[in-house]
Amino acid sequence: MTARVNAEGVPPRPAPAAGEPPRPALVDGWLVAAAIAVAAAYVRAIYFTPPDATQGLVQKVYYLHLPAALNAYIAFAVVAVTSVVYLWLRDPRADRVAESSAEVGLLFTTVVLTTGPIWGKPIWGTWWTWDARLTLTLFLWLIYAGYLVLRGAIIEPEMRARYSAVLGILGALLIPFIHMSVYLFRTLHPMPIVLKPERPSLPPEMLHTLLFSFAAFVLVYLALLRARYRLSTERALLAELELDADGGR
Amino acid sequence: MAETGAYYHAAYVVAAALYLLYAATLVTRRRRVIARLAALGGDGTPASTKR
Repeated sequence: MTARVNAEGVPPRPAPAAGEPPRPALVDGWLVAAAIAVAAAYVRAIYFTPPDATQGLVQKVYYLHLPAALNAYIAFAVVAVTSVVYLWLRDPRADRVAESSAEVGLLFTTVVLTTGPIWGKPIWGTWWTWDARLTLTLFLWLIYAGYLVLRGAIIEPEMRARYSAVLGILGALLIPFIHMSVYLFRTLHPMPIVLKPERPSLPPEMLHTLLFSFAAFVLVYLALLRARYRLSTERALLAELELDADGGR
Repeated sequence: MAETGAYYHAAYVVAAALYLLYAATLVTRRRRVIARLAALGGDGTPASTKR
């Protein structure tokens, strides 16, 4: 079946006489490429990377957990930057990127908060502990969940964009604090072994798998951000059309 | 070496499920919006939404 989309990847206006439902390209090449990349990262981590000598197989959660955490940081940093751009230029496209990135960042943070306890249970002996790194990450999740709730609660578009931009910027200020929390407090969470001033202390085969997995999940971030941005754009158009339709009555 | 394979498999399955679930909700939401747009006669171009 041929997907009928225009240059922006969104469906054209259906011909009135055709009388058939629109058939847009709901899954694009970016999403397919991201899925293939993640599948390859899974295969590499599972079959071609040695297990850790002390932790055993569960250490392989690392190849999902850390890339998800780093992509969450990237996503929320993008929220902050595009929110600043919105407050400066009042461009609704910047607001839509911020909204989209916040939602995808929340997904990555959810992955961090679910894979972390699954890794922690056999190693620490507990699913959860209220230490600084874990608690602050949960706090970050709550801030951006609140960001999305705030967006849903305000109807007026400019007020919604302005208020959520402020929250989006403030939430991202937590990121460096989360990263430094293992140095500032006594925590169960281990110190960084890759993102630190010295060279990464991982064997090359593990480091290469980690970098491969990180690249795959960056592609996931970009593909989901793109798809979510398109949804935001279409929602904005729908809101305008519904407003016009109401005004015409 | 500790026997921790079940936990690692669980983490991989849970992460994959979360990503797939989110992608599915994106597709579902977009399908719904596009259907409403089509009903109102919108063409969905970003230029038409830029104020």
